[in-house]
Amino acid sequence: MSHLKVKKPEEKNHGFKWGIEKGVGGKNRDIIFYESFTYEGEEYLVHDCVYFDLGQPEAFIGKLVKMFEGPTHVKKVKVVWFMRPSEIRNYLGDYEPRWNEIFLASGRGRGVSNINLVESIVGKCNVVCTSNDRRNPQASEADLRWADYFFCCHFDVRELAILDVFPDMVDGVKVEHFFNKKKEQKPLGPPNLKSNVKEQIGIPNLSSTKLKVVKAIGNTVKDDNSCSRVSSLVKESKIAPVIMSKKLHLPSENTLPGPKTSVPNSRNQHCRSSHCQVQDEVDKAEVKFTKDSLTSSAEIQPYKKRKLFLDERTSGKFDNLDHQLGQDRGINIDNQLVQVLGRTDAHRRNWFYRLPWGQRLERAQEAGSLISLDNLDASYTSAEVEDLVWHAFKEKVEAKMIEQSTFSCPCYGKALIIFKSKEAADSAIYQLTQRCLMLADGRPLIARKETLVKPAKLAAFVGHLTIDKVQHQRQNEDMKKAKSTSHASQPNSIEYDMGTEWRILQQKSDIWWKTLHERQAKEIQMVRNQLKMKCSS
Amino acid sequence: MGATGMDEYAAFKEKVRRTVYMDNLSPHVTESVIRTALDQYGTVKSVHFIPNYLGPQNIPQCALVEMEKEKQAEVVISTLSQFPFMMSGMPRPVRARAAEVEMFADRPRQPGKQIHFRWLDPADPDFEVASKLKRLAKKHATETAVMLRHQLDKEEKLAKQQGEALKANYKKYEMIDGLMADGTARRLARHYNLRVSDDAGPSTFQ
Repeated sequence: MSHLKVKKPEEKNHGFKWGIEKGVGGKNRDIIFYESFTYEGEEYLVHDCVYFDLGQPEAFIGKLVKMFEGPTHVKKVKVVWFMRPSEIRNYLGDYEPRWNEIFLASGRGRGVSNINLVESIVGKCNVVCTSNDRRNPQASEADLRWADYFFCCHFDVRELAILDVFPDMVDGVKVEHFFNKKKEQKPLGPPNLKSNVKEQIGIPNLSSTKLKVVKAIGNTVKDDNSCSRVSSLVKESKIAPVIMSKKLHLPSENTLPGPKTSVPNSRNQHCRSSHCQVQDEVDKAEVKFTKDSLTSSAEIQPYKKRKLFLDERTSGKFDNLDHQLGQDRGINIDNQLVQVLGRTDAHRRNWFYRLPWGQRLERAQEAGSLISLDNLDASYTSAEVEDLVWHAFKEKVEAKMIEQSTFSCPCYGKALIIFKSKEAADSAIYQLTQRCLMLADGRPLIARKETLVKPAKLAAFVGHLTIDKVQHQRQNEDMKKAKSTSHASQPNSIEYDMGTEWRILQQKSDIWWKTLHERQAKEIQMVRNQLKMKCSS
Repeated sequence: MGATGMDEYAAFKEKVRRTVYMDNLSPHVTESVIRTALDQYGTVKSVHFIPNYLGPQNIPQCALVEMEKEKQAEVVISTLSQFPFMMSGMPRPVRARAAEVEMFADRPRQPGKQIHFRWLDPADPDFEVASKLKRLAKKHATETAVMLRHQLDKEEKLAKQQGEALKANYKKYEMIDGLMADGTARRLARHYNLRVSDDAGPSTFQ
């Protein structure tokens, strides 16, 4: 414990900073364990769920169970994994997973947990447990809507079966840590935070933190096999450089299906010993555990700053936020003006690399969860639309405004929205047809399913002419050079004359679009004037 | 939304002023074509093609071209409106105009902006008007589609007409070339006592 933390100034490490030290290893005193760290501006605590980028197209999801720094200042975390349905598809049987369902890895065998570099973390993931296990604090409906993923079953890597009865321990960690966090941790009401504070010593940022006593790592990891999750070659190779020096080769057990088993069973001696050591230290004492209320895990974060501002006449009814959130899609807030506030987790959209928007749209279209929202104010931003949908439907969505371009009417803004599921998208469309979502400036929203246009194959462009004979010679040499294909026309050419004809057509079209849009704006205003509510613009 | 929001928005506004919106672009136009075409007027910082997710397939591309300086964007816009500017083909010129805030899908929030909404149920006195507004919006969308169709038709017609004119022109030049080559022109010249050798310019006809 007397180890001095020799911390070099952290420059090139994405703002990495360890939090509170938990202790050093028993035998190997070069290893220091921690309870939290900050990386790329995000604070990670033990038992947070996290996305890992291990070179696969889909990020892996795992729960941090240990974080430590070795003698060479390599920062590592031990992770218990969640399986995506695709990873265990051979064992699903007739189990039909929901699209955002994942499975906690359990049992003894490879693939339950392993050690990873801190650098492979891309961001926090909001995982909610929907198990009816009495040890699991039940998630509210709102929690579920905010969740990125949920699980209610675990996948035993030895039995190769999906089970819904949770064992007491998963990979040596109490199962309670995998369930939802206890409700009292929710910083919904600031006043009761203080009561949780047991001790405040030498901890930075304590003004906004609360302490929670957590019995940490009760049992050691007895499982020899737990150190490597052999999910893919890429993954393994990424870890390999770090553990190379202490790698131990054991016969492969082939417990996992398909190509995954082809990876040599590399064992990390280093980490194994550290498990034993940590046990000695940690078993005895209860460990103080800080929890920053601002960076607490995502499943509880979004609500604390959200308020709904209602008209005076009704404000009394809704000061209880829980009440508000629990309502069935806001049926009781009809006719009340609701202010859309920014969500506190708005930065999440930038967390890590996702599929490009175009591909996400295609997937959503296939899944039936893509809709368009029309009649928005064209000045809304994508983030504002996401907020609007959250407040109106209590659905977390991805939205993107469609850019105004040559032919779009300035009176209408349109956004593409990706819902989490087809059901949510259908429900939103249904609600918007049955009732009416009216923006304060007199815009009733219109939603419908959209079919994306496939990008056109590179056909000839209307208005670009070629002379067949000349074309063949030219294309080989000049056409490849971009510059020769772009130029301002000079007035002594036939090209200039024809170009001018196009200019005239373009001018004309500008005029007819303008006329159309002006007329439309007038028509809208006329109907809007019939509204009894007062419009803000 | 504190000072950072303000700064972010100010920086974004600045970027909008430096950006040129280009349309009537052929699908063959790529980022490198735009960069090479415009680097004579200034440094192109970024090119973003506005994706066409919902429109008809055959509408021209449009793009946001961010220049390094506001001045350069102005030069591009004024040059391209003075001369028909050809990119990856002729004679349909591309167009450039100043970009607007709404053309950017990923724009920061405008500080201080507030959004309010309310749910109206069918019993609400405004529900009928709201439905009317919805119908109007749908009608307007149809109008826009029809107008677009009309525009594309016009463009096709002009292209066809120009194609024929060009073909006729080309034929004419080919014929003249042919007549020069096979000596017909010379024979005729002799017949009419005219000089057609190369040193003679238009002055011969004076």
